[in-house]
Amino acid sequence: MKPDQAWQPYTPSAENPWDLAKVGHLYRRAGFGPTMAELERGLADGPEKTIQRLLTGQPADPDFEAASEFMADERSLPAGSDATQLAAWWLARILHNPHPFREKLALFWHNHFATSLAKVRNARFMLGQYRLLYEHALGDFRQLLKAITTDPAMMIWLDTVTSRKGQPNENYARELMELFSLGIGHYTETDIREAARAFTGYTIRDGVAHFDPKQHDAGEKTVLGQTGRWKAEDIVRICLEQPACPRFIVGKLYRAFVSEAEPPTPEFLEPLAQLYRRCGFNTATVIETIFRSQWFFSPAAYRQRIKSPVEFVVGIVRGLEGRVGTLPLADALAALGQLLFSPPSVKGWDGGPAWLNAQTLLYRQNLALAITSTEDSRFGRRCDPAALLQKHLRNGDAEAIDFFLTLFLQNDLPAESLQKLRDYAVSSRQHRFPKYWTESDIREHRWRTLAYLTLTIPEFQLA
Amino acid sequence: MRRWLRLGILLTATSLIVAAGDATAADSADLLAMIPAPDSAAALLIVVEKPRSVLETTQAVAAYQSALQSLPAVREALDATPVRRLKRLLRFFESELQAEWPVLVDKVAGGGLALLLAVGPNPPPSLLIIHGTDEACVRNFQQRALLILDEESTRQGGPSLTRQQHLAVEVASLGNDFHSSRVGRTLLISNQRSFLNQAISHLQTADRKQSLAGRSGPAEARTLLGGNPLAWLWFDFARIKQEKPVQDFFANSRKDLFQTLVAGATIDALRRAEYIAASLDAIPGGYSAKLQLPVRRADLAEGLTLHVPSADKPGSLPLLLPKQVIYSQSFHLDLGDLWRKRETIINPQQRRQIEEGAKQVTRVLPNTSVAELLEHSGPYHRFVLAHRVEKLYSREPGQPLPAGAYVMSGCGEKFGKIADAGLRAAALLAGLPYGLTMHEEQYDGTTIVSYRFSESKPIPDDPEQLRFNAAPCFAMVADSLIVASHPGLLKDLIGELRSPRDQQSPAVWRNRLDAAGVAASVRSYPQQTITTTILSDGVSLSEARRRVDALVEWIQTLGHFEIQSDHEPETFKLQFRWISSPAAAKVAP
Repeated sequence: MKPDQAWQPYTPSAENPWDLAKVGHLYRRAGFGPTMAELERGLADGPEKTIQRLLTGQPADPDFEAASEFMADERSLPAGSDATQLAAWWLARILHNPHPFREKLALFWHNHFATSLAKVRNARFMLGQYRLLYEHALGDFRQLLKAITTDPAMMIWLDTVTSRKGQPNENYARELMELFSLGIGHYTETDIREAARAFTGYTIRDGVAHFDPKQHDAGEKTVLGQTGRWKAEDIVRICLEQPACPRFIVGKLYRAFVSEAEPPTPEFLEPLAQLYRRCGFNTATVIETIFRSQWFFSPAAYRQRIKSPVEFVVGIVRGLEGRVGTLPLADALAALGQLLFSPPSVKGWDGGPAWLNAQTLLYRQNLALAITSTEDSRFGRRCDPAALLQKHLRNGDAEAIDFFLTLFLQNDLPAESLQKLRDYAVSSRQHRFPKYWTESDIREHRWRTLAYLTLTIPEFQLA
Repeated sequence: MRRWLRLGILLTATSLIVAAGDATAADSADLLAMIPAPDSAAALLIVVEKPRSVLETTQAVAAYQSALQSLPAVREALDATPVRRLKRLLRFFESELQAEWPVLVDKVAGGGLALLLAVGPNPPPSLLIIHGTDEACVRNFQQRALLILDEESTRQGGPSLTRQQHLAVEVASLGNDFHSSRVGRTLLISNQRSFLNQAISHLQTADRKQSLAGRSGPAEARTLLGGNPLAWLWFDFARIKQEKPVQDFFANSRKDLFQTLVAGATIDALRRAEYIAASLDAIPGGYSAKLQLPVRRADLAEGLTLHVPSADKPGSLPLLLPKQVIYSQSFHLDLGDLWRKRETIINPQQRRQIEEGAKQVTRVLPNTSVAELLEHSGPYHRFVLAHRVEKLYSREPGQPLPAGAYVMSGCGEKFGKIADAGLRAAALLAGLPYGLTMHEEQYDGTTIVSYRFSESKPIPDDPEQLRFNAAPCFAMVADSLIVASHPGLLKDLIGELRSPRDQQSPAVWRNRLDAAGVAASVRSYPQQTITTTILSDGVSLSEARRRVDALVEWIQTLGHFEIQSDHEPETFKLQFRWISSPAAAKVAP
């Protein structure tokens, strides 16, 4: 597909109809996976309305906001809070926010501006950075980049707070160009050294950035061909003016929301990069174009990403309409390699195939079992597949299989996987259960196992 | 592995529930005589002489009943799938054996139960003995229990039950790690077939000399513990002490000043003990547990008497119990004695560091020295944490902390003068970067010196404004120095020192945690508890508030928990005691 055609809007047709697979695909990318009600509504509404709903989110939920704000209070989440508590707070937002797309974007920016509590050591600052990312998640990237430069967590993470006149620290200048705005190959070491001088004199006072002119190098600097007595915001502006900047950000958005299978050519992304600059770096505009495009609903994007641990876990819990505690989830996510607010390095999580190896795959399966079995004390019966079937008035093994496959895979799976589920449903009836188990115990156990087996189908690992 | 662990838990839980009877309280000696002594390994023995009493006592505890009634989290836990399954299993046994569980308990385990765990590699053998009173019922119970285990194992894809004979006694095995048998009205369960065979042979020959009853340790432990405990244990420490890492620990701990100061006498008691004995008892309103070591006070190692006073002096002074106390500690530690005997107690390297540190500190002390301060200090120390409602500043701390105080006894009038001068000098130096201002006031005939932080001066190292929790203060009452973080607490303690609510005790180390103080603290600052409830239970804010309110109400009924240690003439004793609040009884049915 040529670039000008690829980014044209998708229109359902007899050959390429709007179906459950596309609804599920959209919900996995624009959120963390669908519930059954969302799938059904999405199918009925068609792409236009469904995309619009995902982009704008559901109406604000006062209870959700009240709980989230209560938990974010200094008395509830003090500066010394540990990483698991902090991650659990965000996971609770991800699970219950009526605007999951915005959380997804905040998570994208968290990986882009990867900052870790391990070095910052102040949960309040990390929380402040989250608020910044969430506020600007769908908005103007230029404002976000400017604001993140003087964000206290970032200032500690990349040592801006220790950068003094005569002793500039190059960390922020380097990462601003390499990871945050331009990418390797679009700047020189001299640019970094000069830019670092502009970031001197910034400290934190009373929890916010403070500019100390005495510690700032006010001399002339030449950065990316522009000379002047630059301060921090000037370097950010200069980076944003580079043609490489929108291309770099659009490339990262493509990998996160379209495909991580094969990197696209610069020419292929050029229409998106031009759009990004034209619309004033408005991230929502670019993402909306992506979600409405033919390319997004083509095989080139469908299941071309591996779910991150957060996507994997939240997708299960949302799908099962569970109300589990996020503290044990955050703990489990750490074992899977993605503890929120604690990325492994300034480059963030590698993502893609790096998420999966023999060990993490086993952990994912064990976690799926723990969540669905109702026998694990961490989750109890708060995420019970058998109760969900009853809620949706599904009875019998065939209906159970159909329900779980629709919910989690939109019935798009290899025939042999489907047969394995059916075989289990039949063979489990021959199993000998302990005498004290009732018929209801046995039936519910079988349904929970069917849910678990659905989650172990390889296609469920794909977003 | 996980599967076998679950099976084990299921079996143990079933055994404990069914084995909780007290129709005829067994003589411990009879139970010990049934257990073959392990060949060479050290061993841990746990005996429940009256199993049914354990459950009945638990059910009778008011706090347990009120938890079931008032705590949603507990109700939710009891509604969990494994617990439901366990309840169903119990009903199954009641139905199959045609008796309510208390009666079943009497029949299956009225003679008591004992668990022997050898300590060692590969894995060591273990043996559970459940001694019943009704052979027919024991037989029926065993048959059904084995059937359930077999079905559960098969369901999980595990091995099936196999049956073999040993000395004409049937041995049922599930895989390599579970073997069970019945001899008369006694059930035997072991993780090793050979050890189970040994136990069967032993039961048939009934040779006391080859049993644990023939070894001195367990019987001695039982005598030492005395009384009528719900459960007791004996741990063969003599053999453990032969292990190189344990020997190294004892050798190194004596050289380490920190370990010597914190637990020197306790570690020394452990070093001398041949075995460890412990028991759990029911007492009115709660439970008491004690751990005893058969060691003499007179044999305490040279230099460690800093933890233990002479017999004519109290072990510790009364615990401080001001209003809304959370935690109180009182202990004996003779720092003057430590300073005088530092050549023998402290290793040379640490001694040099301490002497150098003392020199540095002495430079800022007016007309006195660290040595003089220590030599005039007394051996009794007390520490207390309490919840306070009064605000100290118009600015609130980011994180509220309870008020704390430390009380040190002194020897003579000079101690007060030295301490007063030293503290004023220290406050002057330490206060400069924090903008401390000093105030003096008279209270009940006592001079209180207090310091306040500036509310306008920013302190970069205190992002959570923790300093606004404290207005450091001190006072002398008779020969005791009080240093507190809150003048209100200090004033309460002045009254406490003059009219103590507690008594002095022979115990040398005492701690008390008061649930009412904890409840008051959580009630005043519930945000973190509510947040943790939302994040761990996945409930809404309003539900979390309800849960925390219920939790606070329940904590209020928990009374207090105490730990104390005492070097008695013939034994070292570590005692734990929990006594629920009298209010708890009103909540319970």
